Amino acid sequence: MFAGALGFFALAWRPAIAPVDPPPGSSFDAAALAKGAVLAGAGYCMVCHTRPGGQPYAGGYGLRTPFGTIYSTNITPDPETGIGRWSLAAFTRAMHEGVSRDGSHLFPAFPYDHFTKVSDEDVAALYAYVMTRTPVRAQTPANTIPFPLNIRAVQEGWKILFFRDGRYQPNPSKSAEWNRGAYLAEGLSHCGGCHTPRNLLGAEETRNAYAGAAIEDWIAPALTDANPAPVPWTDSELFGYLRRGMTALHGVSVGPMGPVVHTGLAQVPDSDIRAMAVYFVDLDHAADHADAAAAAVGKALATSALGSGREHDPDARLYAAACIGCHYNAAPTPLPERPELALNSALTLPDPTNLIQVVLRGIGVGEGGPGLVMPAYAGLSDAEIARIAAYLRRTRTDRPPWTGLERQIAAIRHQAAPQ
Amino acid sequence: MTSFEINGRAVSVRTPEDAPLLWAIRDELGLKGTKFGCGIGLCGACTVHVAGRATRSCITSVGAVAGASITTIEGLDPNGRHPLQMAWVELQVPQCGYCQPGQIMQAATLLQDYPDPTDRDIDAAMAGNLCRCMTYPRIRRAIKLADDSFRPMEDVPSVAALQANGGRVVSSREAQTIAGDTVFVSGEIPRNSGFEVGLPGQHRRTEDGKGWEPDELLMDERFIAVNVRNKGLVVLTACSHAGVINVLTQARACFPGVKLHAVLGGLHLSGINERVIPQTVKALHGFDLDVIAAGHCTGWRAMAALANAFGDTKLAPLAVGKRLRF
Repeated sequence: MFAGALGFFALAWRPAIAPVDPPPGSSFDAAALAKGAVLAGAGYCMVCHTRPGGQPYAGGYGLRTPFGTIYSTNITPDPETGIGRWSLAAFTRAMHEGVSRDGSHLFPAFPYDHFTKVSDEDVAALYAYVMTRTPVRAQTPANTIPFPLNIRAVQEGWKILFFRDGRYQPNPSKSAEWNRGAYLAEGLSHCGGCHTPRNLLGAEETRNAYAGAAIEDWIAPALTDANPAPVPWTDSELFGYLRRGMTALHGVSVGPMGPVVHTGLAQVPDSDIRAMAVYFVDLDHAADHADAAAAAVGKALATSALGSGREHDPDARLYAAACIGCHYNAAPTPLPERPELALNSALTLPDPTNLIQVVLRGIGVGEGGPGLVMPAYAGLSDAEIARIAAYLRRTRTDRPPWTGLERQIAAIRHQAAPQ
Repeated sequence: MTSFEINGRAVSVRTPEDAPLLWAIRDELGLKGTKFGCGIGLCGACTVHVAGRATRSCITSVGAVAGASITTIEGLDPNGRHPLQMAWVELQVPQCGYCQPGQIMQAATLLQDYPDPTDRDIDAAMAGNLCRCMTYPRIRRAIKLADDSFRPMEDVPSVAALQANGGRVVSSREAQTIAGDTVFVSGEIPRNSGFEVGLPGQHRRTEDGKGWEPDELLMDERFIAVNVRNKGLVVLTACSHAGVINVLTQARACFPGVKLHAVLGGLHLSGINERVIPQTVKALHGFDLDVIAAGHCTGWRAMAALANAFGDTKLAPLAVGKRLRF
C-alpha cells in the first residue's frame, strides 16, 4: 500500500517549468493582442480572476464550492505574486493540463477541463493579452478546502477519473459555424461549467451535459430542450440574449450571467455570438417546438394585466402595488423593456431561487438589459415576497406550487448579507 | 463618489452607494419635485426615469445607477410643456399634488410604450402609483388627453339603459319638483353675471353624433335645491359651468323671499377660471349664505380666497365621502 501511495504521488508529480523574465509588451504583435482581448472576453477570465472592488486580473475572488472556498489566482504579469515569470509553455500547460508553473496541480475550479480544448494559437494570443495587463502585487488568499482534499497531488486522482487532455476536434457532419460555436462553448466560454450538473467529486456529469445546475446561489437553467422557458430558445433569441443581455420573449441576463454577457461576451464579435447560438439551438431542438412560441406569448399577454383593475385577492393587490407597473405588457407582443414574467424561466423553474434573488437584489446598470435597472425589493418582508412569488406561480404558470417559499427567501437573504 | 447624468447634467454625488437614489436626488442635488411616500416601492411618489424608464428611486441604490442617465420631473421637458404636463394643467388634475410628479413620470413611460392606451393598459401600468386624494379619474383622462385629441367624458347611460335598470326617466327642459315635491330641479340658468363665461375649449358632439362643436356655455346645466326647514335653501350646483353667481341669482329668482342657506358643489374656479375668482368672491357676499361647501374643481386658489373672505365657519370643504348635516 505504501508502494501504491508512492506510485500515486510519482504519477501526480509534474516538473516545474523554469521561470522566465517577464516578457516585455513589445515582444507581442498587435494582432495577437487584439485576438487575445477577444478570447479573454469569450472566456470572461476577468470575472473570476478579479475580486469585487479589486484590480482586474489580480485574483482573490472566492469561488464557493461544496469542498470549501477557492480563491482565484493573480494572473497579472506581476513577477512575485502574479504570473510574470511564466513562459508560454507554462501558461499553455496550465490551460491544457491544469498544472501550475511549479508543477503543482490546479483545482478544477479553474476549468482546465474546458480550456484543454483551446488551440495552441489561441492560448498564445491569450498569453500575449494577460502578459500585457497592468501588473498588480496581490497575494492569493489561501483556500479553505479541508485536508486531505487540499493536497494538490490529490487532484491527479480527480484528473485520472474525470479529465482527458485534448484540443477541440471539429465535428465533420456539422457546419463551420456550429463548430465555431462548439469550440467556444465547450472551450473558452466553458458554459458547462455552470450549466452541467456535477457529481459528488465536483466533476461535470458529461452524460447529463447542460441539464442545468445550481451555481453560487443561483440556478443555471438547462440549455437542452429541458429548459423550462415557455418560448423555445431559437437562435435569434439566443443571439439577442448573449449579445445584449435582453430579449422580449425570455428576459434578461442576471446573477452570474450578467458579467458573462456584459463583461465577457461583450468583447466578442457578432459572428462568434451567432456561432454559439447556432450550437445551442441545435442542442435545445428549438426548431421542433417553434409553434409553441405564439401560443405561449398569447397566453402570457392574456394574464399580463392580472392583479390590476378591480381585484379582491390581497396577493394580487400586493403584486399590483409593487410590480405590475413595470411588468405589464399589452398585446400584440411583449416589449423587452417590460420583462414579461409569464415568459420568464424564473417562474417556471422548479426552484424559485432566481426569482427570489432578483426580487431581493434588483438589477443594476451593467447587468440585465442595456441601461435598465430594476430596484431592489429587499424592503418587502419574507412573507410578502413569498406571497408575490406564489401568486405569480399560480396565475402566470401551469406549474405546481412552490413549497417552503418563506424559509427559502429567509435563507437567501441571509446568504446575501455581506461577509 | 458615484457619477451619473441627471436631467442632462453630469453629476458626482457623495451619498453612499447603498443609499436610496431618492436621497441623492432630493438632499444632495436639491431636486425636490420627486417625493418620498413610503420608502419601500409601493406608492410610486418617488418615480423618476432611468434610461428613460420609470423607476422607483426610493428602492434604487445610488450604486445601481452609476453611469446611468436619470430624468426627474424637473427635467421631463425643458419648459414644463410635455404633453402630459399640458394635459394635467388643462384638466387641473392635482388636488394636494404630492403624488403627481410620480404619476406623470410613470404615465410618460406608459405613453412611450403604448401611445394610445386603453383603460386596461392604464389600470395596469399606473397600478403602483397611489393618490390619496383620489384624482384617478382625472389622471386617466389626462393620460388619454395627452395625445391632443378630443376625449369624450364617459358616456351617460341612455334612457333605455336607465329604464332597463328600474329607473323612471323624466326628460324635460322645464323647471320642476321631483321626489314627492321635495327637490327642485331648475330649468335653464340665465347667464347674466357678465364675468362667468362657461368653460373655454369645451366641446360637444354634433347632432348627427359624428363631429364636435363648441359648447362653452353648457346651457343644459341645471341646479338642484332643497328648502330645509328653519334653515333655508340648500343649492346644489353641479360643476358650476354656468357660474355659481348665475346659479344663485336664478335660485333667488325662483324662490323670492326664501333665505339662501347654503351652496354645495365644485365651483370650477380652477384653471382658466382663476381669472374670475375676485369677482365671484365679491358677488357671493350679496347672497348672505351661511354655508359655502366648495370642493373638487373649486381649486386651491379659490379655496384660499373664499377662506380669507368668509372664514372657516362659513366655508366647509367638500370632498368625496364627506357628509354634511343641515
